[in-house]
Amino acid sequence: MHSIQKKYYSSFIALTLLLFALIFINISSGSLTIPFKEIWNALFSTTTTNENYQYIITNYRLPKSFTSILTGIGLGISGLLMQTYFRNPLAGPFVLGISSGASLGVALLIMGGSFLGILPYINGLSIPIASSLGAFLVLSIVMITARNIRNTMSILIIGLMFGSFTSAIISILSYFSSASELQQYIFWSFGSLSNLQWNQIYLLGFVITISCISLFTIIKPLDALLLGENYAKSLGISLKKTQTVVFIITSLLTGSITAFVGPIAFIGLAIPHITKLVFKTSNHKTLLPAVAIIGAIVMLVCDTLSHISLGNKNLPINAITSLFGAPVVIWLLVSRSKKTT
Amino acid sequence: MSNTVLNLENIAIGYQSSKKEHIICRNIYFNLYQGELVCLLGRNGSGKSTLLKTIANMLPTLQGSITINQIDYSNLSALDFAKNISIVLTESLPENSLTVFETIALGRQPYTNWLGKITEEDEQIVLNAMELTDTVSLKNNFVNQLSDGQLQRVMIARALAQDTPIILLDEPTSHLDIHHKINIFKILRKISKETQKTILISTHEINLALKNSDRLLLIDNHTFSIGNVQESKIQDKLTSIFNSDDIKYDAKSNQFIF
Repeated sequence: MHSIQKKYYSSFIALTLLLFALIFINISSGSLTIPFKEIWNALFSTTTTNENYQYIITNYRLPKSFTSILTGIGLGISGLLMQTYFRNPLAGPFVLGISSGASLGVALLIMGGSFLGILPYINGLSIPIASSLGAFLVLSIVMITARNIRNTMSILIIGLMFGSFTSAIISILSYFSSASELQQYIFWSFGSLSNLQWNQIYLLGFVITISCISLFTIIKPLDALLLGENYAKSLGISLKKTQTVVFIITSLLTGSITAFVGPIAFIGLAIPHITKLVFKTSNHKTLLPAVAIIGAIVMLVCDTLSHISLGNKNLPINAITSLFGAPVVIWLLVSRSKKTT
Repeated sequence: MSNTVLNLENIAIGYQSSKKEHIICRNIYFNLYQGELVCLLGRNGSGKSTLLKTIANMLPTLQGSITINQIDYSNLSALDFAKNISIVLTESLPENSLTVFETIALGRQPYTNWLGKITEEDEQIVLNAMELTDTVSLKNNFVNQLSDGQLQRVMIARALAQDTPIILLDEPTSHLDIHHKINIFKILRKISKETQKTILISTHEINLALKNSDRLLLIDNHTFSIGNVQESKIQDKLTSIFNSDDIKYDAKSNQFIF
C-alpha cells in the first residue's frame, strides 16, 4: 500500500507549489495591481517599501486569500464526505439542508426583520448568527427525521425536500418584502469572500482545523464504505457512529463557511470529482488532503477571476463558481452515461 | 469430525418489522466444523439468504442462540464478528476507483491500526489470498473494470484476507457462465482444504454442490436437514425438494438429470 501512496508525492508537491504561486497572483490582482516584489516584502521582510501596499495587503488582500483557501478546503472536504457517505456522485455539502437553512435564517433576518422588529439590530455579526441558527435548525430537523431511516438514499431525498420547503418560504418572504430588503438578501446570496475581519478568519480557521483533525477517526470507515454498507458492517464498522461523525464534521465545515461567506455553489460538488480525475484513487488517506489542496486552489482561481474580469467592478463569487462548476457537472453526467451505454 | 466452529441451537429465522415477527423457519440446529465446505440448498424464497444473514449477524436471531467457537453471539462486539465471519454478497459494489489490491487489503481492516496502515504482514496475507484465488495478475486493475468472474474471485480473496474461521457466500456463482461456476467451486474447495476455514455457500447449482461439498444443508417448507449426500435421509429430502417432471435425482451418479 505504501508504494501506491508514494506515487502521489510528486502530485502533492506540484499542487503545493501551484497553491503558493496562486496566493501571490491572488494578492497581486485587484483594482490596484501590486507587484510580486512588494508582496514578498510585505509578507516576509520587516523593511516596508510602501506603506499603502502594506496596508492593502494585510487588511484586504491577505484576509481574502485566507478566506478563499479555508472555503475551498472546507467545502471540498464536505463534498467528498457526502459523496462517499451517500455513495452518490451528485451529493454535495448542502444535501443535509445546511444551505437552505442558512438562507432561511438570513432571509428571515433581512426580509422578515421589519415584521419581527429586529431591524435595528442588523449588523455585520447578525448575518453570520442568523445563518448559523437557520442552518443548525434545518439540519437538526433533517437529522431527527432521518434518525430511524436506514436507507441512506431516503436521507438524501429528505434533505432535498427540506431544501425545496425552505426555498418556498423564502419566496413568500421575498414576495412581501421591499426592494431594498430584497436587494440586501440577494447580495448575501451572491456570496462574498472579502467581508471577513482577521478575528473572524481565526474563528473559521479554528473550526476547520478541528474538523480536519477529527477526519482521522473516520478514514477507515470511509474506505470501508467504498464497498457498500453491508461489507463495511462486516468489517466491524459502526454505521451509526460513522454517520454521526460525518454529519457533524460536514455541518461544522459547511455551516461555518456559509455563515461567514454565504452559500457558495458547486464547489463542494465539483472539487471531489476534479480531485478524483487527477488522483485516480478512492483511498481517503490520499483523497482527503488532495481535495483540501485542490479546493483551496480552485477557490483562489475563482476569487482571482472575480477580481480581474471586469476591471474595478467585481463579479459575485457565486456566479464565478457556478460558471465554472456547472460545466464540470454536466460533463460528468455526459461522460458517465457514455460509460454505461 | 474435527472442532466445532459454529453451533446453532434451536434457531428461528425470519424478518422482524416494527410490530410483528415473520418467521420463515424454526427449530434449526446444527454444527459446522473446521475445514468443511457446506452447501445450502433450497428453492427460491425458502430462507437461504435469511439463514445466511442471520449467521452473519446482519439479521437478528428471533429465537435460540448461536455460538462461534463456544462464544455466544450476544457476547461478541462488531469487531469480534469481523474477526470471525467474512462474507461474499450478491450485491454489486458502488462506483469507486479502488484497485484489486486495495479492495482485498480492505479485508485487513479489523486488524490494522486507526489509520488503516497495511503492514508487511498484512501485505503478505493479501498476497496469499490473491494466490489462492488466482487474482495476482489483476493486482493493479480497477475493480469496476473487472468481469463478473474476476470480480467474484476478488471478493472471495477479500473475504480470505479478513482471515476468519468462517466464510459465508451468498450465491457466489450467479451471473457466471458454466466455466466460471466450476472455477469458483474449485477455488472454494481448495481454500477449505488448504486453510482449514469453514465455508458455507448458499447456491442454486445443485450438481456442483453435490460434487463439491462435504455436507449439504437443505431448507424447505419451514423444515431443514443437514448431512452427507450418501445418507438416505438427505437423498430423500433432495428428491422431495427438487424432483418434478422436468428434473430427477439420480442416486447412482449422484446428480440431478434434466
